Amino acid sequence: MATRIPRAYRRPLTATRFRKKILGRIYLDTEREFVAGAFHEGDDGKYRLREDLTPEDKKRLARIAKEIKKNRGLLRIGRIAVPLLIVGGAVAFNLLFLDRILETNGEKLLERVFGAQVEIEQLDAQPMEGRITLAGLIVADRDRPMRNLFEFGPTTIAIRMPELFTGRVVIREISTTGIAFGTERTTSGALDDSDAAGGDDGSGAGLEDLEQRTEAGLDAVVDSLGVDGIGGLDDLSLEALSLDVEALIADARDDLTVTTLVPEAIEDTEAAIASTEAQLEGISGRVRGLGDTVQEVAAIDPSSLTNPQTILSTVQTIESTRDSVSALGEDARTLQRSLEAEIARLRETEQALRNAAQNDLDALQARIPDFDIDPSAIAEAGARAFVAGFLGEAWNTVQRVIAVAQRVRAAIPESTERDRRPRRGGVDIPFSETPYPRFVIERLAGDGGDSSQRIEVSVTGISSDPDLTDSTTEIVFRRDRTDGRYLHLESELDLRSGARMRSESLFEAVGAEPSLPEAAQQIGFASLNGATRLSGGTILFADGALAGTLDAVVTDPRLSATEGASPVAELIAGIASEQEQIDGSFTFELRDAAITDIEASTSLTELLRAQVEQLIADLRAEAEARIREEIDRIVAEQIERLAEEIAVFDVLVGRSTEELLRIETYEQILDEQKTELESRVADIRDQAEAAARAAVEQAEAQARAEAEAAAEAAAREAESRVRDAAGGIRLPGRRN
Amino acid sequence: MIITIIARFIAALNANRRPGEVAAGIAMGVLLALIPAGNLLWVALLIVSALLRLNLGIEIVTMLLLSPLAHLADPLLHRIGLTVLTSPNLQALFSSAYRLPLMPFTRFNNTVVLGGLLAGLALWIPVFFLGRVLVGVYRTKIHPAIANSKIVKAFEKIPIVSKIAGLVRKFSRVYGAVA
Repeated sequence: MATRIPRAYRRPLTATRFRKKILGRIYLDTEREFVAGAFHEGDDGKYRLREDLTPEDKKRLARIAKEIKKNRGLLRIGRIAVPLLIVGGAVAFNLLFLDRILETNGEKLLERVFGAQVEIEQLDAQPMEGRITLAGLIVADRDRPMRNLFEFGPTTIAIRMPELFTGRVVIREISTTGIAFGTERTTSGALDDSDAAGGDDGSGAGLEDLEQRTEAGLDAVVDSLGVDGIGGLDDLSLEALSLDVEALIADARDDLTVTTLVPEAIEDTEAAIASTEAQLEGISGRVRGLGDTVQEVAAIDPSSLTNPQTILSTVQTIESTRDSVSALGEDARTLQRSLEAEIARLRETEQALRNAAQNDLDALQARIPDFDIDPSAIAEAGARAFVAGFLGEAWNTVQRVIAVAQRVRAAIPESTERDRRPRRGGVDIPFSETPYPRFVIERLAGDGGDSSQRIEVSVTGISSDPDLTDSTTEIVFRRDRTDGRYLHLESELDLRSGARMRSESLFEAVGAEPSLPEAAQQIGFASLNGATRLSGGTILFADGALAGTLDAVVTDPRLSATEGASPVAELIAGIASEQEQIDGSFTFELRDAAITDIEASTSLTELLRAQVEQLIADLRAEAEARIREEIDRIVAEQIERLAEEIAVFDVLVGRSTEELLRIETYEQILDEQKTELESRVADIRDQAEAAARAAVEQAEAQARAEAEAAAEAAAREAESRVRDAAGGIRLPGRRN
Repeated sequence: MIITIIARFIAALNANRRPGEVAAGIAMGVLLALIPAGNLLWVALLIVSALLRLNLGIEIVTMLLLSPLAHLADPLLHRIGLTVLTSPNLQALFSSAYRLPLMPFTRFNNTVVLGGLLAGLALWIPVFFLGRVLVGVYRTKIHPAIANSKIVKAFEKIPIVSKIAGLVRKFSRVYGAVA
């Protein structure tokens, strides 16, 4: 098919048009020469296409014609249409789906901030008016998924539209009604893990860390505020006041003299008893052995003995036996004295025991803890328990607010100085009169409530970059009940990086039902009823320290102690319940998750003083009596043991005495028999002497009669015989 | 992509296009290279250059070639930008401009951005005319001289070069006429 001649070449062209519109738009010399050669100038001065062009020439001319067409003008109209279409489409899409887009993104953003499900109802955006209205906003409670943290009714959000074009969301005001807190949900408000993960834009790690630190800090605080961690409660020492005397004695038992004196004494006597019994057995055996000899001696009838030799032999036997009995008697008496000494020692031990009992009593009574408690310490301890719960709540609330603020910052990451600059650096020169961060709520005001109460909330200065706005966030919360009770709270939250104080809060609550903190319940208080008025303030410093004051008034208080509570708890409960009003004033400081300083004074302090002193005196007297009773019981027990030992010795002494009596009997028998025998010998001697004297007289008479000479010789001979007879009998002890 | 850009670049040099288009592409490439990317000003200039009848391929190649070197000029650009941005007489103007919608996105208040813009604009005219001259010289002197040389023909047989040449033909229908 033959190539068609381009329309631009069909009509004759004037020289000027040919030069400007055709040749002037060809920028390659070869092409220009070709086109110039393809035309010829006619007689009328106009340029026409030559007739003898080949198909290749025509093709080349067609291509060049297209290039000439492309080279016309400065703008590429076709390229303008594409971006216009894209922009137009985007605008139309946004206008059509703006509400849904804002609703979805708003829910995601708030879910990141609050960590729980968020529902935005019927969002209607009016961008030209810079206003967004909501039928409702419901934010679930992350910690209690079946409850809502808060919910708004109809809400109007006024936005600074110009700032939207600078990439910032600046909300001038949020006006809302129907504010409610803690309402119940029918479905769980917890986020799915996938939602949570999806909502993490890289700041998740930091957020999680923040949450963990916050919760760990809170746990640490609550732990530190527990009973064990509150020093004053140890002094209050409700357990210490209910003294266990038995335990006290048991602890000191090894150190008591009354428990050691007798066992030591008895330990010594046990050996003595064994030795004594052995000795006594020996003596008894010996007594029995001598008994037969003594009986034989006793059976001798001295009058029947006529032979002096026999008598003398018997006397010698008696003397020998007497010596043995005497030795035995000496041993028996020695043993007797030993037994009596043991008995005396045991009786001395008994006396020493009685003396030691008093010393031990004094020592044990000295061990009774010093119950000299300062009632202000009790008040302080109670205050600590009360403040513990209060601080836990305050700390919880403040940390939750700060966590939410931090989440706002994390969920809407403020471009850093580095990000604000192009990659190659440079310095941004600020020209903005109002340096808005990426997200600002200048003011949030709302109210809510029902027939029983009215709630007003006002928050100003919520910002994703407080450093940039150099402003603080002020929170005002007021809940007024129709029955006169109310809670007013004003707090200033300073999240600027250089701020010394992180938050400063003032509060006043009237008519709230007092609730005992867990710490108070642990020390024995069951419930506290009455009308309360609490006021005070807290300051949270940037370094984590929390300081505050709390003034509390409880009217018509009714404090009850738990069953089995300590006397002090019952005492305090009793005193408190008798008062028309209790005033308390507390100042406290918390640092590094522990109470570092606390001062408390209550109207109960002086009342408590007398009562506590009396209670302490009673407790001490009771403890002392119980100790005395216990010591007496121990002494009686020990004396009984001593008596048993003494009885053993008494038996031994009895046995010893019996043996001794026997021995003495033996001695007496032997002595009597000896005396008898000696008497018998004397008689025989006297009889012999008388017989001899009579014989002599008879012989003298006979001699005188027979012959005087012979008689004289015979007399000498007879006298010589008598002498011989008398010289053969040598009585003991008797000398010739 | 790189080969396509190189092909576009060569095709543009040899195409039946106004030398000014190529020169404007070079000048715009220099401007975009001097301005740090990532701001609305840079994007706007890129879009505008795409709408104008200038050679986009040349512009992109120039920008890519010069961008790595542009940071060397940052100190100078910073001084220029700082001088202008801190000029007392212009404070009111800049403050007003900053409050205009979308203007903060241009980052014109950044010293390197503004310095790059001013330097790029100042260089635009000289670069443009210099580019025109160079394109003319290339088309009339250099290209004819090398196009028929044996070295170039042998060089074209290298696979990568032949691929580029094919793309050049694709992008430049006049290639056959001038080759």
